Amino acid sequence: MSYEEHVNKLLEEIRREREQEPNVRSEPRRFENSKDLLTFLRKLPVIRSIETTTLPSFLRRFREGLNITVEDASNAFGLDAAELVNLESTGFLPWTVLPRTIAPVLSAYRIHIEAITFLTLNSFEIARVSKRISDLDEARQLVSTWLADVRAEFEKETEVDLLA
Amino acid sequence: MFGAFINSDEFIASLHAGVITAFELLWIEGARNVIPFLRSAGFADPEDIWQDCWVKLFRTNCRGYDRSEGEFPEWLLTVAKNRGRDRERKKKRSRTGSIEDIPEQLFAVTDENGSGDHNRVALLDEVLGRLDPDDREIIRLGCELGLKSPEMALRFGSSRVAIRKRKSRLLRKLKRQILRLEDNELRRTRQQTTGRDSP
Repeated sequence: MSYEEHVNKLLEEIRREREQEPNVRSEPRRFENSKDLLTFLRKLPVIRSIETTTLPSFLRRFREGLNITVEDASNAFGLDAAELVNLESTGFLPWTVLPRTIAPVLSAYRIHIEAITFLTLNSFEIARVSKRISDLDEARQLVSTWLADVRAEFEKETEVDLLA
Repeated sequence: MFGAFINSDEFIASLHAGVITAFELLWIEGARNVIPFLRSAGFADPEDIWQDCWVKLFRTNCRGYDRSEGEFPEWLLTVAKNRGRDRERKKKRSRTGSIEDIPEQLFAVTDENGSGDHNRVALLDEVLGRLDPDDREIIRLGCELGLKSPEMALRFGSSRVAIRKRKSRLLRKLKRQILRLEDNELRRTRQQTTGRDSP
């Protein structure tokens, strides 16, 4: 089978698979206020094992998977909507944001520090391969310090479950 | 089209050996070929999907690729297609509800009937207590440990489809039971306040 034939075969497979799936429309999850949203998130299990992706991508898909709007989430975390969108954008480098800004999001989503480390290192590898890092050693040091600071934020908030 | 080098034995061997320059070339080739393919297939966020694919290939040194099963570029597109479809399915599952949503869904049912926190916990305890051990284990694995159907299937020694069906049935059963219990609770409350049975 030629390359073009293989591409067409895959496109046809995708079309057929989508046809067989029901169309699902859903309304965003509604919360009375930010406190309710945070209480809802607090009930979620701690995320330790995680799919192979980057931190911003995970944050966006996690929120979307729960049908929570950017506005509701940003209000609950004390961020501007634009700030949250930035944290969730594909090319964002997590270690360039202050740990105290992102820590409330990570703890609200119940992401264990080991999972955060894994996702951040994936972001680092993407930044490296896409030549967005000029000084590799300096960037490694930054990532390491940033992760330690996120851990310190969790400790300050006594997020024992996310550190154990 | 992919560069001819990408299908060479030398390049594949470099990927299997984890040579970073090989992965840098893979990144560039993917951006040129995989992203347009994903876009033409109508996937949302093709850049994001390719990024995830690359990370996965990097972490595994492309060990999933077996030369005897076909050419590398075709395999790469298949990996990207599967990743994209997997995301689409997950998104749909999250909209239709899943076992991970059970506590929230149960509370949502009680909220509509205006029960207080104390009643909710009592109801939840009662409903969970009535389940058979396998169903309780499914809830524990899904809610406490965050396991998905494939991982649960391994633990139970059954197929993914069987687990998904069981989870779906379990969710319906839980909703029915909690509604029934709430009806009983409401009836009891009315009896106590009015001194007679409600219609």
